[in-house]
Amino acid sequence: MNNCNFTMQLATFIKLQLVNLYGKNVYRNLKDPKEKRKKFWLYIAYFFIIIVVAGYAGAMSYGYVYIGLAKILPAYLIMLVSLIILLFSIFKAGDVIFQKNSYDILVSLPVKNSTIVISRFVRLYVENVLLAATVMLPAMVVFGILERPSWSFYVIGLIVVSFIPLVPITVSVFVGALIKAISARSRNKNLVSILLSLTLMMCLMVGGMRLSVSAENMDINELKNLLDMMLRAINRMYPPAIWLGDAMLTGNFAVCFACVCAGFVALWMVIAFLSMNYTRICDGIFSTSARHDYKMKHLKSSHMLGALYKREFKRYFASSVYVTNTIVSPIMGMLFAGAMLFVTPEQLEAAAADFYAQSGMVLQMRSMLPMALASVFCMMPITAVSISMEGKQWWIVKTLPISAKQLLDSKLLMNLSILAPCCGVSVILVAIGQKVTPIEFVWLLLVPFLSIVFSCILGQTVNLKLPVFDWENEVSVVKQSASTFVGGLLPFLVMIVMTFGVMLVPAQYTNLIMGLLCMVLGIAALMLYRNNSKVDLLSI
Amino acid sequence: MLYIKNLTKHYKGSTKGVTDLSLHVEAGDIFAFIGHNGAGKTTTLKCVAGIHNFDQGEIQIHGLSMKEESLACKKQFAYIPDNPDLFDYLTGIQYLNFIADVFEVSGEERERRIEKYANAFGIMESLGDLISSYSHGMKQKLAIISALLHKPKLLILDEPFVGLDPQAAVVLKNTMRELCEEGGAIFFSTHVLDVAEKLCNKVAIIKEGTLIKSGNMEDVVKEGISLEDIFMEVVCDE
Repeated sequence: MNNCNFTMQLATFIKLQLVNLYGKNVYRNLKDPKEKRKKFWLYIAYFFIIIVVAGYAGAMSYGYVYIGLAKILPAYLIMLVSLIILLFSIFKAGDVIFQKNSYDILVSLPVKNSTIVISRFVRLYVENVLLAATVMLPAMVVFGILERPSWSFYVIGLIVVSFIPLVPITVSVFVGALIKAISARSRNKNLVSILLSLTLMMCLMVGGMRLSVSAENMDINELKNLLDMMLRAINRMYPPAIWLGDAMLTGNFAVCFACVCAGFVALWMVIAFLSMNYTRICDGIFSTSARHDYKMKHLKSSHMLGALYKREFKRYFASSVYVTNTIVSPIMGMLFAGAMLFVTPEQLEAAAADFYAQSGMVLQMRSMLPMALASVFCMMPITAVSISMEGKQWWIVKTLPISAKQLLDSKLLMNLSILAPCCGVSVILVAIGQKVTPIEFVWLLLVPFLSIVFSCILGQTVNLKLPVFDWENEVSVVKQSASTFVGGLLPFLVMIVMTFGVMLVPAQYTNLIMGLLCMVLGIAALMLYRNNSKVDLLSI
Repeated sequence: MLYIKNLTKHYKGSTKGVTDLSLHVEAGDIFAFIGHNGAGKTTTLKCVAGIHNFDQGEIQIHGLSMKEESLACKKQFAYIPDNPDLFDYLTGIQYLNFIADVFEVSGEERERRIEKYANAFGIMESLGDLISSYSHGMKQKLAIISALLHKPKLLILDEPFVGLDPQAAVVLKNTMRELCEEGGAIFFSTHVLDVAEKLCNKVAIIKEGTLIKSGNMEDVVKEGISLEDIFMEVVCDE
């Protein structure tokens, strides 16, 4: 095959990958006006978020220049965007590159494996370059207006914007491929993949915590030189951010091109490795072992809810992307609670006093504890996507004599079965660490538990309004659907607003406000639950 | 058993669908529903099975209204789509046990029926494997077994013979006859016209969402003229 053919095939495959980016092809060809309107408003919401993020980036740029940290700004933004892309990509890159959908058709075509790999990589890249541009471009414009840099700042800046996603995506693809390759060798592929992904997640979280702890432990004199401290921190985490940031400020094209070339070499190596092993890894992942030795045994019968509940658990643990994206909040909650064992009540009071000295606002740190736990556990409830995860098998549920209430109860129970034990352990850890009084323990127990019930039901409400059944792969429903976005963030935002409210209420009213909060959460959960249970499955 | 009156279902923004369709499937009937691709067969079957809502009309199964008593209705029938996407994350036996739980089939009864049908369709040894490892035909067989577990009064099948090996096709035909002899009824779509002609006592032909011929097989198929000829005649003439 000559290079011209390869390029043409690659262009065709890339076009195929990008044709439905953000669902634009589906939107363009939608016939149902109701569905089209729904999608349109979703795009408006996405646009609004882009405006907010861009505005925030611009404001941050202004702030940094204003307090004299202009020199650090490009490097800081490059590091920040790279980290965000890494966190967003690392648990989905493997699933995108080794997507099962249409695999059989694609590999049977006369194309090289590298064509398939590169086209899928380009899809990841385009998704993330938009994120990089949303943050970097407004910040660069504000910086340009205030600092009046030379033309080279903008030229190198644009090169940097298109380069930023390259490194985190290359790392994500490599790690994702490694997890897939290792799990493909095992009989319990999903279980191994989940365990490896969770281990990686724990490492990232603990690593992040260690970095912030080491920054806190710096010598107090060093804080006076904030610029040096930040430069050192960025250099420790991600040195290319410093090199590229410097290149933007000094107009050093040589450094910029060296970084870009190094990035492309790393990418080429990863793509070459994947292309060589692609069929083997895919074979391992997609082939399922069958024993053909079943003999009829005694079958244990269950009641309807029990049967649905068991099915939900099997569905959940059958998908590594489903687990890794929804298990973050309980893990973070338990890490937070574990950290509270090492923070004394006196240190908490001292932090509140510091905050008062700086802002003049009195914070009720102890009443914040149940709220903080509740906020963490409310992020990304499983129920926000559990209906969408039925996918093409939704017909089974619709044709069986299962009521909406039974189905939703089973999904709710499964979510609570994952969250409640983790929440219980976290409550105990915080109670021990902070030596809470009996009444504080009651709130510490009630607020997070009622909050997780509320968030799970709210997630379900959102998913009932924004279900997607005709999805390409699990990544698109778990990580990119409207329901994930709204259902995952809405409960968290509700809890954050409530937390700020509680923090500012004077101490003598703490019990009253906590009681009221529990009542509001309980009533809201009950109302949503009753409403959800009445839904007509036929209309979904 | 199945009573469809003036069924109308249109997809928003599309000309496809079903218009004013009425038919009656009685106990003991094996009713073939035929038509070209996109004629509205699957839409009709999906409305009957409770997958699609419909705009107008009435569907009754065993005297129960699909709109008003959908749960009670669903206990009376079983549906198998043309391309059965089953729960890939369960093993075959787990799936059958789940369906038996939903229909509250007793422990002994479910074991007896699973054994009977799994042996008949030749997939007993594979029941311990994940459904994701099954071929299309095996999934079809599993879907058929799951549909028979609760002894439904009405079996709704969309292209049931597609993907089945010849032996399984014979088993399915015999099972269909057996179910009807016991007072059940079968309503199924098919493109295999000679099977329909030999197996069914009633037939309906649909074109562009409208029923154009319906009745007893012997009334529709006259001497010397096959169902295929009749189908070509009515579909091309209109």
